[in-house]
Amino acid sequence: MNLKLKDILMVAICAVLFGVVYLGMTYFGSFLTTVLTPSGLGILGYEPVYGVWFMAAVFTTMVIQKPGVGVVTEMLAAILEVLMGNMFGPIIFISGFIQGIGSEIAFAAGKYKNYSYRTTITASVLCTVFTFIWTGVRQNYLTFEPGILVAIFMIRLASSILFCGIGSKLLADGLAKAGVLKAYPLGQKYLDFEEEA
Amino acid sequence: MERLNPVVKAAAILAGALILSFTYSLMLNGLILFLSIVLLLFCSKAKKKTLVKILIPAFLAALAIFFTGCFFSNPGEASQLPKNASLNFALASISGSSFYNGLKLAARILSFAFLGILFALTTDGEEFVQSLIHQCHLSPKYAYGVLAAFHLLPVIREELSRTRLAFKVRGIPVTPFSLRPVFAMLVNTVHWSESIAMAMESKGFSGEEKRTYYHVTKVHWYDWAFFAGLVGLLLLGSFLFPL
Repeated sequence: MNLKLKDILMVAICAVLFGVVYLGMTYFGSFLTTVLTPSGLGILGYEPVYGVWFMAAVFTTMVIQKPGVGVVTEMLAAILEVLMGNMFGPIIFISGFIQGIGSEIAFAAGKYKNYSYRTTITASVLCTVFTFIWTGVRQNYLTFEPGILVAIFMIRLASSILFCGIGSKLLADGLAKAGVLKAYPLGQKYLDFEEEA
Repeated sequence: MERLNPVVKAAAILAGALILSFTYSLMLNGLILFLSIVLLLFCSKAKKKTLVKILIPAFLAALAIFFTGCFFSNPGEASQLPKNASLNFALASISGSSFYNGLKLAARILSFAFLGILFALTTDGEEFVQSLIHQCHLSPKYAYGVLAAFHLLPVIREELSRTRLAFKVRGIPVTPFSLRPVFAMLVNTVHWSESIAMAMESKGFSGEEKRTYYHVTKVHWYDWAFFAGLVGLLLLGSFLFPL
C-alpha cells in the first residue's frame, strides 16, 4: 500500500479533528458518568459517544478507497493520542488496531468497491463487536451481570451505527457532492456528473 | 525515566498492560500502582499539578466501575469471598464478593491509567516520533505527517470553535453532537492537507527513507533493563499472586 504525503496528511488531520470533536463530547460523557456513578451505572457514561472513535477510519477509507487505510488511520490516530498525553498511554495502539481491523474487514468484504450504507453500517457493527470483546477483557466483563453487559453493548452499537455508520457516510458523500474531494476516488464519481450538468 | 528510549519504554508499558489485562490479582495491581507512583514522584521530572489534573478522569472512571462492580456483579463468577460476608451501607447492603469484585476492577483501571500516565508524563512527543523512525523504521512520510497534524491541533481546535460560533451567529443551533461544523472543518482539512503537502514537498521533503537526521535516538542497556525489569516483575507477580 502506497499512500501519498497528501493522503497521509489528510488522514492524520482527520484523526486530530475527530479527536477534538470526541473531546468536546466527552464533557457530556464525564457529566453522565458522574451522575450515574452512585447508582452503579457509571460504566455506561461514555458509551453514547463511543461511535465517534470509529468515524475517522470509515471516513478516510471511503475517501481514499485503498486497502489498509482504515488500520493506518487508527494507528496514526493512536500515535496522535499518545502524543497528546492520553492517560492510558501505549495500550491505545492495540485499541486503535482493533478498531481499524473492524472497519477494514467490512470494506474488504466489498473488495473496496462497495461504499454503500450497508458496508459502513457493517463496519460500525464490527468495530462495536471487536471493541466490546477488547474492553471486556480489560475490564473483566465476565464478573458483571448479563443485563448490564447487554446495556453496554446496545448503547455502544446504537452510537456506533448513528455516528460511524450513518454520520461518516453522510459527511463523506456531502464532501464529494460539494466538489471538495475532486482529487480523491470518492470525488471522481461526482466530477463527471458535474461536467454533464 | 526521561532518559529511557521512548519506543522501548512504550513497548515495556504496553507489554506490562497486556499482562495486566489477563490477570485479575488485586495484589499485583496494587504493586503496579505503588511502583508507578514511586517512579513518577522520585524518578521523573513530572509536575505534580499535571499529575493531579490527569488523574481526575482516571479516578472518576475507577469510581464508576467500582460502583458498577458493587451493584451489578455476577454472583456466580465473582465468588472468591464467602457469601455471608456483607457490608451494610446506608442505602443498600452489598455482598462481600461484589464489593471485592468492584475493588478489583477499580484497581485494574487505576493501574492501567497509572502505567499510561507514567509514559505520558515522562515522554517528549517529538522524541517519541524520532524514536519511531529510528527504532521501528517508521517511514518519515508517516512520521512527519503525524507531527504536522499534531502541531495543527491548536489551529484545529480554534477553527472548530469559530465554525460553531459562525453557525450560532446565523441562528443555526449547534450542539456538541451536530455534524454541520464537522463538515465545514473537513472541507478545511482537505485544503490544509493539500497545501501542507505542497509546502513540505517544495522544501525538498521527499518522504524517502534515506535522509540525514540531526537527532538519532539510540537504545542503551538501561532501556532493556527497564523492559526486562517491568515485564519480569509482572510475570513473576502474576504467578505469585493468582487472586
